[in-house]
Amino acid sequence: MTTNGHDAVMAGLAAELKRLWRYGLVLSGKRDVAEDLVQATCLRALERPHQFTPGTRLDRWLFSILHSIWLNEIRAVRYRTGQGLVDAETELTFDGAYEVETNILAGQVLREVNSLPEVQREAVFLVYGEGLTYREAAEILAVPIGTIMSRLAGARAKLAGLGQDEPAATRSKDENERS
Amino acid sequence: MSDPEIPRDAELTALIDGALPEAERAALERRLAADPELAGRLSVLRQGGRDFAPAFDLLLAAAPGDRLETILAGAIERVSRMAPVTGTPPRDRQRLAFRIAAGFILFLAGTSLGVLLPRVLGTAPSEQAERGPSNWRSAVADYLTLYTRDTLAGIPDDAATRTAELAQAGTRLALDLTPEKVALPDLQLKRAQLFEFNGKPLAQLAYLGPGDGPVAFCIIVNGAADAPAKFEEREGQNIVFWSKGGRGYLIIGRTGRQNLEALAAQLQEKIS
Repeated sequence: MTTNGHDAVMAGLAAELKRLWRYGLVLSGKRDVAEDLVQATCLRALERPHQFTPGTRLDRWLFSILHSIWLNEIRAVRYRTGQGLVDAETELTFDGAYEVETNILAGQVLREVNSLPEVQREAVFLVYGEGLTYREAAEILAVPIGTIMSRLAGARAKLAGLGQDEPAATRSKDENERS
Repeated sequence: MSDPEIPRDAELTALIDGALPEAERAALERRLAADPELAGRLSVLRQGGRDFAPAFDLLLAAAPGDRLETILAGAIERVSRMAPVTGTPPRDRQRLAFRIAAGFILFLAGTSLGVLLPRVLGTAPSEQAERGPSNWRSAVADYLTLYTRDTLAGIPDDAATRTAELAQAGTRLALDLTPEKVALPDLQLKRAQLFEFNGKPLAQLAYLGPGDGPVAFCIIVNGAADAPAKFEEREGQNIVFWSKGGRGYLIIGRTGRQNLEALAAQLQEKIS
């Protein structure tokens, strides 16, 4: 049986919806914008399945579509129409609704991530949240690997500053050791 | 802000993340052993680490799964009804709708089969009865409900690309389509795409103007008898449609009826 781009997209798209939504939420800080991003990403993927190369990672391909839509169509338009960026601080932590007791630390981490500039937040999410390599993240964002490194370094520097007033026990050490 | 720390920080971050090639890692560690200030900076960056993955997992757990499945089902239905022609081999195109539905149903088998299957496979009886060869207008209107200004605003205005898109669409429709012939006052042609509806070629020319959002001019080769322009409303959008020379035409948008009828009159004059 041969596998082509269509088959691969059809078979895999449904399983990636929640991760696409999460990416959209991290970018926009808005649940409804995240849903719009998922919808636009699905439509584009379904319209152009032949552009997917079978044997490569479908989630990476979908991520690059979503990133491109965010950058070129949604965020860009917000800038042009003078709306400015959405206030990312509004919803990423969901008003504490999900911060049940065991998740207090995770909620704190989300608030800190939320305080980062968009490009740093996105790099942190892709590398530390999704577990992508620097190279994979660079390909999705269409930037050099050095840019990913700089953004992660900038995020770490800022988060280190935020953490200075906190007890050391609330922070974890190097959470990601990857090859 | 220009910060001389950044290149050094980037390298230290890569070290923390285990992302440095072996030779670079060894060299950096030698420097760290000899340079307390550098080691101090490494320590600062380590303090910027967090337990990120469980935090992001929290967001995953909050994802509205049912809504997202509904969104996908809607996208599948629209694409299966209007499979784009461009760049897709014909044989695959014919099977596209089936494959999309089949793949999705397989996924659903393990999840919420009962909720979504009717949305994918079945439609309301009244809607099905309408969906004959003559009701391409319903499919177009449905598809256009997804469009916002944002859908088109990001497309670069490139005259050569538009000319090529029009030529490709014109070939399938056996119609001479040029930017001049399809130009409309106060509207910028943003994209010309080729679709199929029930096996018939269908072109959609999407425009964006300063006011009422996207406007689309669509042409289908359906063999219909000549008919004068008529007005109707579908899916909250205004449509003016007519037939000539075995082709059906429509112009659709959220703009006012009078404006749309004026645009239709111009297109009728220029395209035959």
